[in-house]
Amino acid sequence: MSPLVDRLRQLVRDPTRAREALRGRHPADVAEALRTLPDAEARQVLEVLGPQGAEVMAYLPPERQRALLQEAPPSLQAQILAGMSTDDAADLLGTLRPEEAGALLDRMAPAEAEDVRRLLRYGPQTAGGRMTPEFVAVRQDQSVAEALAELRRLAPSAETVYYVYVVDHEGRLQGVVGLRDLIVASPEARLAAVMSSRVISVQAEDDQETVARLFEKYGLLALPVVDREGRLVGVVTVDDVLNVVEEEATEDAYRLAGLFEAVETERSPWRRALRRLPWLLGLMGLEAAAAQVVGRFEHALQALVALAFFIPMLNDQAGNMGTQCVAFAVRAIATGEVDRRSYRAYALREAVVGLASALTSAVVAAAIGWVWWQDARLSLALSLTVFVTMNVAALLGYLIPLGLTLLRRDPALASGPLITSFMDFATVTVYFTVAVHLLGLGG
Amino acid sequence: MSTLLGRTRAYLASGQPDALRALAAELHAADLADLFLQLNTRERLAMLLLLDVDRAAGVLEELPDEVRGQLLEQLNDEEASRLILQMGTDEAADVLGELPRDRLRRLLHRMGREAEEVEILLRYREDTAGGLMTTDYVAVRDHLRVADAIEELRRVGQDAELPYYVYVVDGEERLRGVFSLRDLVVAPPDAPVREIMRTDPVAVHPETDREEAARTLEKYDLLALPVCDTDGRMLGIITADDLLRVTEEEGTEDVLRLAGAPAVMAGLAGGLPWLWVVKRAGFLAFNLVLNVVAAVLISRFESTLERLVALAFFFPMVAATAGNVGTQSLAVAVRGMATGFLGEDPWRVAIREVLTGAAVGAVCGGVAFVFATLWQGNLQLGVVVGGALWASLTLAAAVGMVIPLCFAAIRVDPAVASGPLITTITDNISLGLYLVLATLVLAVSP
Repeated sequence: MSPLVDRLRQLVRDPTRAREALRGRHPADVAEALRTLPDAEARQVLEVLGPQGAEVMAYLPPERQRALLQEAPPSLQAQILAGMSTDDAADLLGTLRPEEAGALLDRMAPAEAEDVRRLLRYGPQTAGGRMTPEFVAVRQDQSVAEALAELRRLAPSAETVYYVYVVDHEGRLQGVVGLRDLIVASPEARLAAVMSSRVISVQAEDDQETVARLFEKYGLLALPVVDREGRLVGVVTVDDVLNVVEEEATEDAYRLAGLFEAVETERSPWRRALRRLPWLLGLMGLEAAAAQVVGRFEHALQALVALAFFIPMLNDQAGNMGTQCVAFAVRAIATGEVDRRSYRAYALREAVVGLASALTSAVVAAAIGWVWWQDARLSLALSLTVFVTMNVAALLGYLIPLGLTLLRRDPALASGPLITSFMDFATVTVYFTVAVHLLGLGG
Repeated sequence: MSTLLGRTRAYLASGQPDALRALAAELHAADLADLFLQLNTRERLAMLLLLDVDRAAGVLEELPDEVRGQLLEQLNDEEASRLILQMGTDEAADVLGELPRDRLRRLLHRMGREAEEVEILLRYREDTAGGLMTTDYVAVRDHLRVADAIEELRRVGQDAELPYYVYVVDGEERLRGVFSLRDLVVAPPDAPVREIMRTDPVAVHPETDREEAARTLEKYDLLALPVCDTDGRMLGIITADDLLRVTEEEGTEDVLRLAGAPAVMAGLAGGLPWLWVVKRAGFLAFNLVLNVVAAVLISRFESTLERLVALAFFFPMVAATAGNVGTQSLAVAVRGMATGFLGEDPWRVAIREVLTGAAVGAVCGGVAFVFATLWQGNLQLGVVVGGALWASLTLAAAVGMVIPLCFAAIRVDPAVASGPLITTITDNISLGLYLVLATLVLAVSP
């Protein structure tokens, strides 16, 4: 048990001394220690920590935040929400049921509650849902000195000031000045003269992946968000985007493995199992269909039981080919390397890879059959099956994710296990049909 | 975009450097690089030489490695060093690191004082904090005042990239504190920097793994992370935008690893890198050979199979379901290690994962038991299918979780534990269990 956890426990018994010990500790570290405490104790600690507690809260995982807030006494709820930054508070309230969120909003100061309500209107995975409304904007006819004065006035509340945004009389975004340029500029200069009008912005409704891609492409620290009229409504900061990129990658990895719900938050093995079962059972349905196909060829198996030896090998081969293609397609789409314009070249390239891989593996399969069985017809059957099924797998492996993208669905829905199970069914069908014909095992 | 490209080509053809520079001034470096990539090799070189040197350096920073390498080959040493001098030190080190040794030495020689900083960066491996850092940061001595810090900011001018933090160091260059530009604006000019700085800043060692650095930056919500040696002397900073790329690359690597796809050498969507095609095809062919093990394993049970051919009907179901469960656990392990949610004690999560496998196995095994018994009208077969599925799903969860954790524990790259490796192992375990169980059950039955 880390000493910090002991401090937190001590905090409840002897607030003054422990608070002294916690001074200067980064809220992220305190949050990490707090994670190991049970809910009831964690709530006591948050209460004693006061405003620092709200800061710590923002570093906890969303599910834990929700659990801690839901059961907290009203006074603590109000204390936490008041201390959190607007975007963190909106993220937290967005995970609650609307009536619960409404009740909590009523406990907040009206002006702050209004800001949070405005953020809640945007989808959680959009630029609007990720932005903070705490930014510094000045008008273009103001001077550098006036901008600095404005910054001093707003800075305590606007926690993330890297740039000062320049707007016109209607609040429309006109330009941007880096904080450094502002500091070193001559105080009398007009902002219109020192600002850069080459400002990159996003629309509030834009998807968070679009936002992440812009950050990456332009190496930004913050990105202004505008509404349809071009008015500045908020700012997305790079630390939020880092979380987005990480979450998206995890989601892709999970979906590729056929996990469609976040699992790391569940502790009970039964509940973890329940989340995975529907999908696994559905795939078993496909495998049952494959079993029925093999069942149709019972007579062939009885005539040559060795046919069964190769089933898993052939299945695995097609499944791996399909999963590879899905993985490349999903990440190529997620990182923006392939989009609605460039998908043709990508499909062509994957087709070449599919063909080359199928050819190589077909030769290897023929060799395996020959070395082991010295039967040219069995070799040919294995080789043909590998060639056909790998090409089909490659085709499906990139066409399904691309198709889903064109339909504006998440390409990762085409998971590895889905394609593997489908290919199992297809592979045994091709294999037994080909083998029965070539080896003359038909009825 | 096409008109932009058309105009660029026209200016290049007719030799109008001023018009070209005016056009470039409208564009962000990243967009200028996009435009640049649409030109042919000869046009690229011409454009690079016509642009202002700082714009040209900006474009060079944004270009993919191969394109950049090609261009540098065509520049003479004087042109190349002039451009590299204008780049950020981290980018300059990346560019120089790819050059042949003798050219690298010649260029460093031409670069003079700046070369020292780049040489420090060249010492660190690409996947470490040192390999990612830049030496372009703003630091002030701890006895100075706010006004001095502002003066220093003015002095470093455009050199430091996107400065947001000012670092405070002592006489030995040891990192003492940090304050943000925001703190600077709010503070009175004659206040000592020591009063506005935050002490005990978070820092990493240059040998720290870059994933670890990304996690640290993310955990503390920082915009830049200082890199210090063991004595606490400040060497450079890593900026959040570089780590954004790291996080994304690592994510892609993990996803591809789950699919057993080879590491990406070119961009995912680039042209047709033949070596890469050969790698992917070769990997699959190798995998085929590996799977002969499963075929040999089954052939050992030929007599059992001959007694009950229907056993073969369930090969795909047993193998695939075990493979699925194994891959799921692998995904949890791999992303858990990447994002740090496995925490201090990954083995606790591993036990939970194995219990999950057992629970999943109980349900899937039950369903398979009912299906096999009813379909084939054979209770023994049902028991064998159901029992084997339950046991192999439990083991598959263990394999998917434990193998990458073991690799990490003994410091073997967990990338070796790819999806296909796990499925190959679970194939053999599940089919082996299935056929052993079948042999036993058939042996005791009349």
